Amino acid sequence: MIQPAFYLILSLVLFFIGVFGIFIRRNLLVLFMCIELMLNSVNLAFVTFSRMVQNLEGQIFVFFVISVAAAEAAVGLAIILLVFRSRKTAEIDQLTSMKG
Amino acid sequence: MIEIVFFIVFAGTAVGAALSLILQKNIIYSALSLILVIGSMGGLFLLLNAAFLAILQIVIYAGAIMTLFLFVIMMVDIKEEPVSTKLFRSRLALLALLLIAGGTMWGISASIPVFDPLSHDFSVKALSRELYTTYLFPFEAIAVLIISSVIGALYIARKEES
Repeated sequence: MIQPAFYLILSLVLFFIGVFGIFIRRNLLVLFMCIELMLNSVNLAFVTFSRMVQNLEGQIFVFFVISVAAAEAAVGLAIILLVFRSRKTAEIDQLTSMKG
Repeated sequence: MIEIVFFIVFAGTAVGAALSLILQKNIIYSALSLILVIGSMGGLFLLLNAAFLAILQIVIYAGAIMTLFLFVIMMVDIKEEPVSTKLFRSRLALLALLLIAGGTMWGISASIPVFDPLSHDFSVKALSRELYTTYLFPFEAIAVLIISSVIGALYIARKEES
């Protein structure tokens, strides 16, 4: 029998792979994909807890997270496209006009 | 027993594809790895009796969001980007963070019970009943959010006419 801890540890590992990716990659699109990866790992934890306490509300929260992620992807990708159109680059090291 | 085999297959695919997502030089391969992660996550959802979410995962994430990603990647100029090494200075800190988090999780996992056999109704029918009664207002609000985000995205990404 699989224990909930396995799922939670898998979710933690995926989350930290996403965090690590944000540290080592410099491309806006890859950073965005890492954020999606982290959202997904959190969804997995939600579903695991929902199964553990036998309550459907965890799954409903995941449903909302997925829909908000879809909206976020649409707007975020439009912004990335706009940045690329005006700066001709998607590397965050070169997007320094705000001294970030 | 077969459950454990499926879990190992899906979990291994997810972790391997996630690593390939952050280490791949070509962005297209990164996006394809993310699709693989999402697919195996759908399998894990099935193992957790969340059939509706597994379908949503495939249809919305792998189908809609990743298609959007691939379109944008095709519009944005792809350069072979070397995985940056000068940022590895913080590697030790990250490793420490990972170890701490892993240790904490390991400690917690000792007190987490095993899955009880399913006693509640986890079917799609029960989920949708809950969604359309208790969570009706957030559900409608999500519809407004998605419509406005689509309109906003179209407005942001339109061609400037000067």
